[in-house]
Amino acid sequence: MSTEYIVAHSDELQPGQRKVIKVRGIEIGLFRIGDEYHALPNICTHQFGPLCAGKVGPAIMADENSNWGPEFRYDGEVVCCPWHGLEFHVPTGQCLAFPETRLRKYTVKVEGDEVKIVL
Amino acid sequence: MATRTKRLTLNDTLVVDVDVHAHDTPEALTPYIDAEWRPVLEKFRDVPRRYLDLGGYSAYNSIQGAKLPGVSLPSPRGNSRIEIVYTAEQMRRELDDFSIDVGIIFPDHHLRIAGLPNANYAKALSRAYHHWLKEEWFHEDNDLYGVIIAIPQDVEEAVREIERWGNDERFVGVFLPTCEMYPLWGHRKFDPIYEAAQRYDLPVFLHAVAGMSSGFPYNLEAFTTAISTHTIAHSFAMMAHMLSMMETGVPVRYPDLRICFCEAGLTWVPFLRMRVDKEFNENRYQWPHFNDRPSKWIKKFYFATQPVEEPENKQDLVDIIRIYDGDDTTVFASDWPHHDFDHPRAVFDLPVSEVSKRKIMGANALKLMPRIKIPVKYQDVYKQGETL
Amino acid sequence: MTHNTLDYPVIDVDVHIHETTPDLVEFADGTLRRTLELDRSVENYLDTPGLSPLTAYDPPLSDDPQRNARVARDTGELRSVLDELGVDAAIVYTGRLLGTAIRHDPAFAVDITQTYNRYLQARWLRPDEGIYGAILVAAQDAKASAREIERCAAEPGFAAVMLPMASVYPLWGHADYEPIYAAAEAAGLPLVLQGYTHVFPVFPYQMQQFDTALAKQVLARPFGVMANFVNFVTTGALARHPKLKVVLAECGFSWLLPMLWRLDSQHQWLREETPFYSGDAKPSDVMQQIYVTTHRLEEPKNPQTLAALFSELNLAEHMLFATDWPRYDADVEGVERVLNLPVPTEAKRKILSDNARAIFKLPQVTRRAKLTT
Repeated sequence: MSTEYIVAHSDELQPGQRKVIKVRGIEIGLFRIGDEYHALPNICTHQFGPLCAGKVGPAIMADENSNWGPEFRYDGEVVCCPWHGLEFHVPTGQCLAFPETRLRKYTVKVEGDEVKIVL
Repeated sequence: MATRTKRLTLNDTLVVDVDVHAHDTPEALTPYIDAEWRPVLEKFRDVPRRYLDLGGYSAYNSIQGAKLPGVSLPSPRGNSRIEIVYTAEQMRRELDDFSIDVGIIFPDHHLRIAGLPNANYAKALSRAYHHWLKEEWFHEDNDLYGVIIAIPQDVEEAVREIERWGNDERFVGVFLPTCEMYPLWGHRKFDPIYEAAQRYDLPVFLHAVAGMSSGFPYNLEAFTTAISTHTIAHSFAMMAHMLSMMETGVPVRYPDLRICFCEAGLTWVPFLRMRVDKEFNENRYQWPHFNDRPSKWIKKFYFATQPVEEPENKQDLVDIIRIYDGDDTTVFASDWPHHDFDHPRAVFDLPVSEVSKRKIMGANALKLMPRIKIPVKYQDVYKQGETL
Repeated sequence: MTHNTLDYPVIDVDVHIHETTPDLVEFADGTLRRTLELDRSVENYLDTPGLSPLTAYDPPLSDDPQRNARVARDTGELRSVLDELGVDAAIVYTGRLLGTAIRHDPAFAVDITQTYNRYLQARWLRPDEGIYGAILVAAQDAKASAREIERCAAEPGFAAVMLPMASVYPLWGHADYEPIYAAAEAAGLPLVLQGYTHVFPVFPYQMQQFDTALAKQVLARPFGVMANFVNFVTTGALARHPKLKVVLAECGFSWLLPMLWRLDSQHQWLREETPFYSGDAKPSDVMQQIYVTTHRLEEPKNPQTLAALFSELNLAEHMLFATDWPRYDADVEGVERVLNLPVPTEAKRKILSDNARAIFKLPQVTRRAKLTT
């Protein structure tokens, strides 16, 4: 049986901002990227640091398309754990360093001017 | 011993952190330094600050990045955490947050003190550092302890400092700085330092830091990224210095001296032990002071865990600890507040017995540093020198 | 002052600007641009961490002269300085990127040096105000550097090619750098070896054991120049590019004579490796292509010693005036010093003016009116 929790006003976070809230004892990072909201657990898979409090920005990537040289991609979409720097792509929860690691995202709903997380 | 009916938690365990860092800036040391050097330290007021890279005091001189993990490709972490502890109160508070009970303090900038070619300068700085620790970090019972810096540039001075602070209960070891160091710590000219440390029953700690200089193994200029240099800088430094100490027989000539290798992780230890034993078949005559395979002495060394390796299968690390017989000699270290610190759970959560957990998290450190006073909370559970 | 009476323009071939990382941002693109924007490293004279670190191991004693250096941050400031020095035209070099040869990463080196050249051109090169500059090349990628030389040579104001010496590996002169020699020779631009006092694991900079700044300042720049010079001579790079000129800056000149003697002397027993010096040819023949600067002029007790060295090396034709401003040991009275040399008057004019005009191709430099007294 899922419950919805109001966690923010729709004007509260500007695009690019985020905040960490506690819902039912669980710390969750709420990110606004553009007009979409994403919610990730505020626990890094590495040593349980406060992942969602870290810097949000681009990631340096390289592949054949960049001729294997470094490029900035996913601007504003990658959160970097403040403890040891492990990077996660917020929209997908994907850990950039380890393909087998992907964070489970929480469902976010925007209804009217309320932003809600569904647990 | 009381029987426990529930699982051991970090909170129930005496955690001795063998490696934390106090930020020893020029301003911090100015009140304590010899008068003739005060004007020099005061000059740093005008010098732009970079983290652990202060020209004329503690120069990193790296091309891979002044602040790891690198300046030429900017770290996405940026400055999200101030990786500095300025005061004893701050240290105490932050260690409490991690359930760390006892902390052994090492310097920050002066991890690089061996790289200062001006011996008088190094001398003045190390003296000031010890006074600063005494006055501002050990002014109360806070379960924080420190180590005496032995500067290689002036062995007599190093011995004098060991003698000056050697009976002070808050100094629990001798720090052998291993960054930008030449020659290596096995050189015979350093014998008086080992003699003094043994005399005061103080263990010696080898601790490196990333930094560049001409002698092996600090000549890392061929690398273009900090991940390369950081992967090997500390471990190569520990290996080089261990070999140097083995080849002049330091553990044989100072049989009561306890030696601890810090901040190089653990997985290099079996490599070096096995390699050296293999070589010993053919080349024992070069190390004739050993009457048995060298690993018998390596087995007595202590190894601080940080940065503890984190294999996908934790059992792999447990196996490695077993392979180097580390159950009684592995000591937890966090390296707080540095960028690559380990949360105690990174070690506590290893799949080992509770007895081993208690050893690695604290009881082994009590053997390494018998001066440490067991915090009141644990006095009925841990006894000084007890064998778990 | 005597120099007010000179009727020819004084050219200073070695002056340094001071650029900051923010200055460079608008001239960078791609990843480098973003990287420079995010660079939080604090600016310090001669020190750009991660790119060109100062490597200071010595304490800042009260007489440490490198602290609080006066620098020029724009052409206005620089022009005032030049006027004070009595200089009509100058060739400028980087202030904070002297160590760009250190990193082995070619892409980054090419990016930063090309960014610098674009910045230099936009913000500093003013031929009509007597400000010329040197093209900074990346040792790590000779072909890209050659293309950069071709590009910049076509633009007004670039008068030389700067070869960063600090911890370059391999040393300049090596065959790896052929494209650079060829491009510079084709463009008629002299190569200028530039270094700074710097301690690093690369020969000849492994100076960690010297426990004074004095020892390092004495040896670093001359050792750097000597090592690179010997490599130029013994690889035949100069023999293969007979029109190429190399300027040895910031190390005086007196060491050159015994070095040339020694090269010629040892060469008599080791000829096979250097077929370009066959028959009567000898290593010291390279002197045709070598120039030294007046920074810093040696000052023997007996001035006739200087005169003897001058004629031995034919320095009247091969010496260039330089102050090396704003280095702590800049020769701010350099013009006076040259005018007081025990050499013929024509030689002084060549040193202060004609030689530089010829090799850097600066015919349009004119004497500026109303120099300061």
